[in-house]
Amino acid sequence: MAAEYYRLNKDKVGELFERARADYDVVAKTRDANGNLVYGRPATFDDVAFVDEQPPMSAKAFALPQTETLVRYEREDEKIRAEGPEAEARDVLLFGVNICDAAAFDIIDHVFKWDYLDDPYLGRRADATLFALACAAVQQDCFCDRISYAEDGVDTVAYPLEGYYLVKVQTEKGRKLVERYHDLFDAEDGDAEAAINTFREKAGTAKKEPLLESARAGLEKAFEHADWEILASTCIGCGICTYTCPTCHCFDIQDEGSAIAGRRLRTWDHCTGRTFTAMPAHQPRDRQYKRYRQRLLHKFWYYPERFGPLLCTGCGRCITYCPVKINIKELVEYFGGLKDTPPGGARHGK
Amino acid sequence: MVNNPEHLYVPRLVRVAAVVDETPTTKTFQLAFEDGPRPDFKCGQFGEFGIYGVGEATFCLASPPSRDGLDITVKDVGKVTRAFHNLNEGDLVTFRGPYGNWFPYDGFKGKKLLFIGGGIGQAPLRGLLWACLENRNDFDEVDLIYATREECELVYERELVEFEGRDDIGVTLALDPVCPGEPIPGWRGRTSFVPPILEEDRPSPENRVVITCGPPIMIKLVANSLLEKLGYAPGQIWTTLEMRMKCGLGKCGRCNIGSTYVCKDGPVFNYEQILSFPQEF
Amino acid sequence: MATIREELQAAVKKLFDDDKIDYFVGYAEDYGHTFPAILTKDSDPSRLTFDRKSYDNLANFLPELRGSRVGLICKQCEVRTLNVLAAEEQVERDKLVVVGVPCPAMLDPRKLTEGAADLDSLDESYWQEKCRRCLERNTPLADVFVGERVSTPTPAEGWPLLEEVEKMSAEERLAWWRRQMSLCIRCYACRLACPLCYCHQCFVEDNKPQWIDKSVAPENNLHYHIIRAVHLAGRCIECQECSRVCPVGIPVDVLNNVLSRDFAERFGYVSGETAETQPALTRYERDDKEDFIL
Repeated sequence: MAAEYYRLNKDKVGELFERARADYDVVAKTRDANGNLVYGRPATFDDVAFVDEQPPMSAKAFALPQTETLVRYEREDEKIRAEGPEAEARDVLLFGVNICDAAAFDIIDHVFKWDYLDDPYLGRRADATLFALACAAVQQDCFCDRISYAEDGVDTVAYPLEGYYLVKVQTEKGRKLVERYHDLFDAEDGDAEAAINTFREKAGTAKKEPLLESARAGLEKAFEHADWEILASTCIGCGICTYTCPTCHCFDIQDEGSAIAGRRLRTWDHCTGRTFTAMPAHQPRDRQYKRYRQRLLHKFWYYPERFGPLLCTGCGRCITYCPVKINIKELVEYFGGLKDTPPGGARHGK
Repeated sequence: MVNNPEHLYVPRLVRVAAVVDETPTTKTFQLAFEDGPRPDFKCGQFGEFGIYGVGEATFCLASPPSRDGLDITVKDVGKVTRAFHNLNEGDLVTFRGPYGNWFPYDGFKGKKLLFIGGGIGQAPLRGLLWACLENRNDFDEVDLIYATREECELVYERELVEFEGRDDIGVTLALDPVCPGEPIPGWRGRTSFVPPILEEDRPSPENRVVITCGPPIMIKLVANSLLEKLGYAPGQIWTTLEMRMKCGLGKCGRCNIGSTYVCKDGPVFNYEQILSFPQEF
Repeated sequence: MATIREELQAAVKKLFDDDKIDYFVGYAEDYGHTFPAILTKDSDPSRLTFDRKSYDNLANFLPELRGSRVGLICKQCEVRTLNVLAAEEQVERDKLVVVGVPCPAMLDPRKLTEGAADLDSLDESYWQEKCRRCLERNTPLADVFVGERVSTPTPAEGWPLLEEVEKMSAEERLAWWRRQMSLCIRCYACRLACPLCYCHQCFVEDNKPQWIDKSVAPENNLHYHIIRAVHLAGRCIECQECSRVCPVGIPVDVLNNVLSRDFAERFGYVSGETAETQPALTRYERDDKEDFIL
């Protein structure tokens, strides 16, 4: 659909949240027990943090939970009964989600809908409406300005302008949301796209050359670059980058329970971990730098080769929360030939 | 709609119809479908097999599609395979599949076929080998070279004996040489790695395809030997890759080599494709 | 007067020029962060630094470089780690060049607000807790020392957060831990950032038998953290890296501190205190108290 533009008065946001709770399972940013920002289910608008600050965990768990039951089984005498979880009809509204989190769903949809359809993911995805809040300033470590990912699948985006939110409606789901609460929205009759562009220039989120997409040709020649070993050997192999990432989607399937009753479930998994590809007699990625290289190349070479978009929205969490501050953007630029100096100056033998 | 109770991760239940001890560490399970017809499959495909409470594992379908049910051959190497080894006739296991691509059976017609198996790598070749023997007139020469480390590790021994008695398939069995050149007392086959056998027997590349599966190092050395010493083109070599898999559906990201999903684009690959992968393995 | 940065870079260059080391493991400053970097003789040392954000326990990188000659920046945290690793025969001391530094106390990244002006001047309230308890700020065991020695304040007593948790009633405490454990995402960064969690195969990866369920649930998460704490009993040197790296801010080290305190109180034992310190659980003395057995 062609985009539509509305104004939402800043003091109407609370009312929008409260009224949407009657129709949607509303997810919004709030604070957890340790004061971290999280996507949660605040009961009142007082508990909502309608801010552009990023929570440590992205919003992907609403379509791909960290742990989900695929099959429940029960054995009775000689019979085994097994079935998937019951359908639970609920429309989720992700209220005030960052654009980098919201746009990530369109990117990972590709893998869940090519060939076999992944019903559990796609079901939750179809039920989710995205109401994104644009960032007023670039945040620590993010580089969304360097990746030209599509945003037109984000149902609505609210741009905080002087005195009001300029709400851009991009999909039918977004239109349905605005129609439901139409009395809260006013028509926008100015040049909305021009206002958005100005906002983005000021926020620093307008796209800048060279885009990281252009690193791919260099990356395709850099698989055996000697410096992977030295630059990626500080990777400790934890799951922070993949688990906080809005686009990392690799998973494991495990059984929990006894022979009598239990469940088969899927859980997030991370390619940077040493068990990811380990087979009894063979470990193809036998060094840590090879595992880190897999993550980077999957995002910036393999995934786009297969599905089109980079598997990254530049949210920067994998840098901010990395215990050793490995910087994927810097490494893409270095190995992709966009810059000559390696991060931290570390270089392998000539 | 959120979760469909019939979604693609819900497996079928199949019954263990027979268990065959192959080697001290390997068993073949003949599985029967009781809840409906067995799905069609093609030689080279695989499935996700599991035991509730233990988990799933990936096994190739090791019997020809013409036979009832299907066979899997399982080496006891991990948690799930250990649990399979404890199964008895009549037990139920879970099955999802068939998944993956298959050998270009029709493309092999009229050609000379050289099967080269290593250890448990004979399992993915078995279904195709039998399918070819069932339609023997469709093919020119059919030969098998099968190598293991020790004699007790030969799987499908009874079938190997049968092959050795047939005149329409050439069989070469080989064991790893502890000391190169030293024959092993009482052993009916050769004592050699596979590449020296190839370089000695020199099967000509003319109108021949090689179908090989085994440890990665064997596949690599066999291919090098065929390409460099015997004049084969990469397109004449077919193999099936083992990668750790979980979903089998092109989702979970575990089996990727570059942008290739081994579970969807494979497990059967032409060596030309393998040479184009990032040289990760 | 040369800054510590310049002195350090000169010292590293000399170690490479004199062919004393194959790799140097230190901290580099780039793109707004200070982070561990592994350098070779062909690397550019001009980004090497040692500042108040030199958080990582660099001893954690030794296994990756096993077999090579390594120069390693060591704060007291690394030194205590090396003492434990040496006692456990995990370190090739003859291949290691310890580069000593005067530690200015590390800042707690969670207490740093963006744009904090002069990091060097931030007072104790911005420090990591471990730095208040530091035994010696000038690297003992140093083969090379760069910078000017500083005085070490009297180490603080006690573990404030542990004491706060212990003041809670049993129910409150359980609720507190459940809340913390409900945040855990089982990324295992706490284990992997720990230089003493060096097992080739951790119990969480074992599946024959499978000790721990993979699903992320408070009970499973607590199960993991408790077993890890017990595996570090009498070994943990309190570098707090487990807590620092946690992406959701779980104070993981509180569990370790319980055990460290028990070892201190019962055996007068401080893990990795000196190069001679033997691991507490492999040592027997006739007057060891046994009152906890019966």
